[in-house]
Amino acid sequence: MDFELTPEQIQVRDMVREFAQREVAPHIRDWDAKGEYHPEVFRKMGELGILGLPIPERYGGGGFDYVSLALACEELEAVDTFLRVVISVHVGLNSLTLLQWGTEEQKQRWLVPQARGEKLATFALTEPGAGSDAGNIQTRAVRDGDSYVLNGEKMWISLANTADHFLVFATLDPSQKHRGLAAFMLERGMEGLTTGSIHGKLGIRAGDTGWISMQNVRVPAENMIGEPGEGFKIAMSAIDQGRFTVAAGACGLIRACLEASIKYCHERQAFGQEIGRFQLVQQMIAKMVKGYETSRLLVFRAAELKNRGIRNTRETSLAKWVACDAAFEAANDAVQIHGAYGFSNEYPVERYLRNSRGAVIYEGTREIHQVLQAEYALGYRVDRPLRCPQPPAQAFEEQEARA
Amino acid sequence: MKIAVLVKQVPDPNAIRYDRRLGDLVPGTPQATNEYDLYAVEAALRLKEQLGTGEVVVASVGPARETLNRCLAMGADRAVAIEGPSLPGDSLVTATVLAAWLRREAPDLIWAGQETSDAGTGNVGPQVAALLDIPLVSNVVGWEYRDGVLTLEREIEDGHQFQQVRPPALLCALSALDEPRLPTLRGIMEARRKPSDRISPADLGVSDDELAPVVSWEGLFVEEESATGVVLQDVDPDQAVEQLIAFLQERRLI
Ligand SMILES: Cc1cc2nc3c(=O)[nH]c(=O)nc-3n(C[C@H](O)[C@H](O)[C@H](O)COP(=O)(O)OP(=O)(O)OC[C@H]3O[C@@H](n4cnc5c(N)ncnc54)[C@H](O)[C@@H]3O)c2cc1C
Ligand SMILES: Cc1cc2nc3c(=O)[nH]c(=O)nc-3n(C[C@H](O)[C@H](O)[C@H](O)COP(=O)(O)OP(=O)(O)OC[C@H]3O[C@@H](n4cnc5c(N)ncnc54)[C@H](O)[C@@H]3O)c2cc1C
Repeated sequence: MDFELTPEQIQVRDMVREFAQREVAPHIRDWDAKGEYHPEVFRKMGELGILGLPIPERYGGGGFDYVSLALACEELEAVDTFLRVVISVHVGLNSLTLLQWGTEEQKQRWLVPQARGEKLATFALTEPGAGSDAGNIQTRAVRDGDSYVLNGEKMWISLANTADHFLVFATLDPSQKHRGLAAFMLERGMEGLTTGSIHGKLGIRAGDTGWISMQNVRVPAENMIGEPGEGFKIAMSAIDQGRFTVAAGACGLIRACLEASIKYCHERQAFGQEIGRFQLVQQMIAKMVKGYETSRLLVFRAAELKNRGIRNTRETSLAKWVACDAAFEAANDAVQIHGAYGFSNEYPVERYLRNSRGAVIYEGTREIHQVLQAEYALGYRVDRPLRCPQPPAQAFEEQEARA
Repeated sequence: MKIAVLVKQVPDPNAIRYDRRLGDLVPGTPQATNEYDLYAVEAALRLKEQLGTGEVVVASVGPARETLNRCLAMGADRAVAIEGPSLPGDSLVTATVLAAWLRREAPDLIWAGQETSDAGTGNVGPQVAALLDIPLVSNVVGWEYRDGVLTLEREIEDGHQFQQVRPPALLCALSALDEPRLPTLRGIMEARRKPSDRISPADLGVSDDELAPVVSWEGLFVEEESATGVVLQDVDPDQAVEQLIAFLQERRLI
């Protein structure tokens, strides 16, 4: 076990931090207040290579490991959640899933431009009538000659209105529930595919969350990722990656709460002393430190398993649950520490609170993670080997090849 | 064209904390690249890109691994760390060591920063130029290279001045130059494969006598902050009221 970051990991962290601080931090209060969306930021992330960070160099990515990915997510969400969300859907849920399950041809066609940041991608599983119960989705895919015809609605999809590529899940046979699902890559511009944005959100107001509607969208059979009936497994392994980025991002949100709170504790006086001197305020600070450090350790453990290509569903779920709960609690306490000022957007902590709320719902609700952890502990749940296991990070792949 | 850039690693100005008992910075203060030096690196990279060929070599005296890695990731071709037990000494020692290295490298052009954010003497650039006996252009805020001649825009008191110089020369950068690029992930990955040397003053033939500082370093202290006031004079009463309200609001007193 080694807790030292490598020089490259430090460089990735510093570069992403500078990018977010320089390009987004000065504007974010305004963007959030107006619900303004600035996708040009993603172009810059693409130019810097952030949108292909963990994808091997041979597929146009940076070839960095999962610790670097975690550090990048932390830095992005320390500025605003919408920046980390693009990593979750574009990199975690879509690109890494193509890397794991796609054929060589599919990787060349979609993964390479995504890793280079030339195309943006998202992941569409949730529907108006099915979220946690993903086996029950109603979007239908019907075989017709050498293509499938898709009909249905997707809801709460991040980057729905921005992405070029969509990893869409549909059922081939509703009576088969989760065994009947299949995964397809759809491209913007396909006939019958429309998207829109959802307004009136509590948080991530500088980001795009939306819906996708498919009306007789004809999708060539070669756009199916994996095999018919494998859709549910693909969705779950995608979520192993997405959850990881959410957990790592939550660490950044906790850190931002901690930094803002410490600063305010030193500035604000009450009863003749800095409010940081009050033990009940100290308790909130201590809990933020605990949340940050424990969440980070869980994230880094999951990262180590991912680096080596070892199954990590259980560990990633634990990291996601712990980190997102801790982030919500930290943000809530940060508002408390700021008193009435925390209740206005003069300070960033109210934005942190609103942004932290979503992550207790998406990528597995808090309740779903509790059920998972209990089932693993009780022996009701066992992970079986996948047809396509998650590949190790590039550096570890190279190590293995040498050995 | 071979371009050398002199870069220094300094305590990160955004993270500096002073330890009163130690009489020094808190140990483990995060390090950063001196800001002006990043502008110098950017200028060197742009000139190389304009010419389509050449080499950018960065060098630093004293511990500077992160800084040199960063310059390589930005696009520099090679890095040299000059390290020794007596380094850093005073600015003349630093300049002497750098000049010895530069004589060996014989670059066509040298970029440095105008001054550092830590010791901030602004001596090193001029001293190196003097030791090498080449022209010095300081306070550079703009440049253009055409037909073997550099046209340099300098910031001077009350205005700007244009100078032309034919390399070799030493230029000192200010931050009005093009904003330094962030290293890309590809750059960070490629930097690992670029040549990076570590040498000592002895390797450069610098004698122990030359490494003895003439200026001695006494210690560090922080000036006590004292409260300052604002005086509103010769303003019309309505404006004065507005300014007073703004002043109080800014401090969250009303
Ligand atoms: C900002 C945002 C972005 C999103 N982005 C995407 C995206 O890009 N792609 C995508 O596919 N989806 C996305 N989602 C959707 C998200 O994944 C779902 O909201 C989530 O899976 C929960 O589903 P649901 O909202 O339908 O809630 P439901 O599943 O209806 O759950 C309602 C409540 O019941 C509880 N519950 C449900 N089942 C159980 C159980 N078995 N045991 C105990 N409690 C249970 C839940 O915990 C919850 O409290 C996003 C959501 C948000 C808010
Ligand atoms: C532990 C320690 C001990 C010190 N002891 C002394 C001492 O005894 N006496 C004393 O006078 N000073 C001492 N200093 C200060 C420091 O060593 C000098 O000031 C330094 O050599 C360069 O001067 P500067 O920072 O003022 O650079 P400036 O002259 O302000 O820098 C201008 C430009 O020169 C270049 N440059 C400067 N330094 C370097 C470098 N090291 N490598 C490459 N390029 C460089 C950069 O391009 C920079 O932008 C000490 C510093 C430390 C950290």
